[in-house]
Amino acid sequence: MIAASPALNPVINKKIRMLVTPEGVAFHIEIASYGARIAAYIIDLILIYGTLLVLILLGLWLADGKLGAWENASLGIIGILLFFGLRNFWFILFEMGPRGATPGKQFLRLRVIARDGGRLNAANVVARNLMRELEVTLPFAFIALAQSLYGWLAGGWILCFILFPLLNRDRMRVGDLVGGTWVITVPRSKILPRIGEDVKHHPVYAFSAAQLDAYGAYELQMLENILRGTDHKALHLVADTIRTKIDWWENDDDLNFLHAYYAAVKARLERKLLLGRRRADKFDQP
Amino acid sequence: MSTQDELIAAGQRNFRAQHEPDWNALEGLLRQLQRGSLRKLTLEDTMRLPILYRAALSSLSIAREFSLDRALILYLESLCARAYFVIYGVPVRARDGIAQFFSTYWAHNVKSLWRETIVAVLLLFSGALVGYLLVMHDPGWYVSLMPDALAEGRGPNSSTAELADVIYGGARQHENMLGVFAAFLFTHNVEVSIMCFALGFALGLPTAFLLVQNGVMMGALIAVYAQHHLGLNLIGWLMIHGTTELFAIILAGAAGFRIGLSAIFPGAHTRMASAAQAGRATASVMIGVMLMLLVSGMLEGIARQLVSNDLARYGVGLAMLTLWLVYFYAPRRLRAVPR
Repeated sequence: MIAASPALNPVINKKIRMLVTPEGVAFHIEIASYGARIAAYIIDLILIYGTLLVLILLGLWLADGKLGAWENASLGIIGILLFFGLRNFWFILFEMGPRGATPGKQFLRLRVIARDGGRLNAANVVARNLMRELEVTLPFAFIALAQSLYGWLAGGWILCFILFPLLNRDRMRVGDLVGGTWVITVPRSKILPRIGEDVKHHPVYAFSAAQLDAYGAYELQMLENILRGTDHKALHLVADTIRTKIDWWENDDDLNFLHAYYAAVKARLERKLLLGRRRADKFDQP
Repeated sequence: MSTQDELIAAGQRNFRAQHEPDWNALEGLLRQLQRGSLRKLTLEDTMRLPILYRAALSSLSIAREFSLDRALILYLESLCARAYFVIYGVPVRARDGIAQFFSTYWAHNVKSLWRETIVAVLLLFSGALVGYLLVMHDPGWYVSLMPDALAEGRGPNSSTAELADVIYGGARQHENMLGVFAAFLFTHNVEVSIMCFALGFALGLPTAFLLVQNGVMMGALIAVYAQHHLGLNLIGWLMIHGTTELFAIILAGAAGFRIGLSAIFPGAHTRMASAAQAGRATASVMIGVMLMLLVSGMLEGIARQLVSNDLARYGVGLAMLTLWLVYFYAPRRLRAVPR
């Protein structure tokens, strides 16, 4: 199977991985970038501490000095547990949900998945989130305490864990490694209309077999990319390149020509596909 | 374009026209799921989801084989990926998960950590022995072994009465704040246990250090009390919650060791697979550790302050220990252990 586009070609885009479903169908997924992960984390932190701040202010407003010792104690308990719960379970509970992502991750279209392609279960999520203590909380505690040489050494050593995701291809932090997870970019899906349909009956466009054999599937899909884009300069350039290559000297409109040529080449290559002959690119023998 | 090519193009159009309603239906279901929860789906929709998902997968396989329409293949790929995440991403129903956790999963994973648990126990208690012997030999050690925050003003220079007051004066000291105290102890201990666990990744050494350090502090404190002939009383004061709390910390340490060991000695697996496997097994132990610490926090924050009889304190402590030991290690019929 060839990758359908350069963006999803593992050789060209280093962040593409193959995932094989239990049904035996492989598809491409894209590992999320370090920047997106950090941004998502910062959003989550803002949400967590924002929620906490709002709740504390609400509590203070409700209390308003009129409460007895018992009520104050209850508010204290609720406050402590709330702080603890939000800090530790915000990530765990959201990632166990149907979207597999915290609000910060959802905002950046990220999601946690199990690396082996199986079900993401509670243990994966808990393991990956408990390790955050080592990666984030501890370094900051050390930095705060770093007045001695020992503090700086320990801080520097622990800093390795923050940079850990940059040191492996899959952008895994320690938690992902231990939890058996990947964080990926959720693909957008929108079905696009077929192209090259409306010009096909035009009598001018009768290409010869040799002209149609100039390119393979890869070039065809590059052309599709250009046709679906809006770059007119590129369109003109590509049209001229193809005209030169196939000796086409009609003085016609670039767009019409490209659409017609695209449709014709696609039909020819697809017919060959049906006969079991895939022509990957122009270097492949027709 | 030849007639043959025309026919093929028509076939492609038909393929898309025939299957597009299914793809759209799947897309609609996915969107609905993203907005709400699984429960909001009707039974019919829930039944349709996997069918539509497999139909989309098969469309993708077909399209890859006979279509060169990049937009179509990309669309199907992303549609399948999204459906796949929904179908294989949603964990078991919470109620089943919790039942499984308590009936098999927790105890099974604790039991599988028995080697690491023994090591953690040895580290903690050898630390306690060292701390005890050092302070018994020379009380001057106490100051350097015990952080000020934890000493609560107790030290070799305290009088017997002062020391006894810490052990027996609990209820008077805290009055209404018992619950707050319990909540604080719980959250603090959980942070320590998580740290113990997470540090295991650094080859287990910091975890070992934390265990020994806690043991030394405990031993030092006992020595101070022993010099005033209050040693057994202090042990009762520690034990009422300590059997649960120390057990939890030991398990957290054992879980940390497992993580570290899996990275050093991956065995037959790749290092990554080995770490992931250890993470999965120990994560459930850690959930259990948090529950144990919740129990110990209540014992320490409330029961200890209210129960000032030594015998009762020993009784509660030993009963809790027996309970945990039986629950974790008593032989039980092993049902299929979920992954």
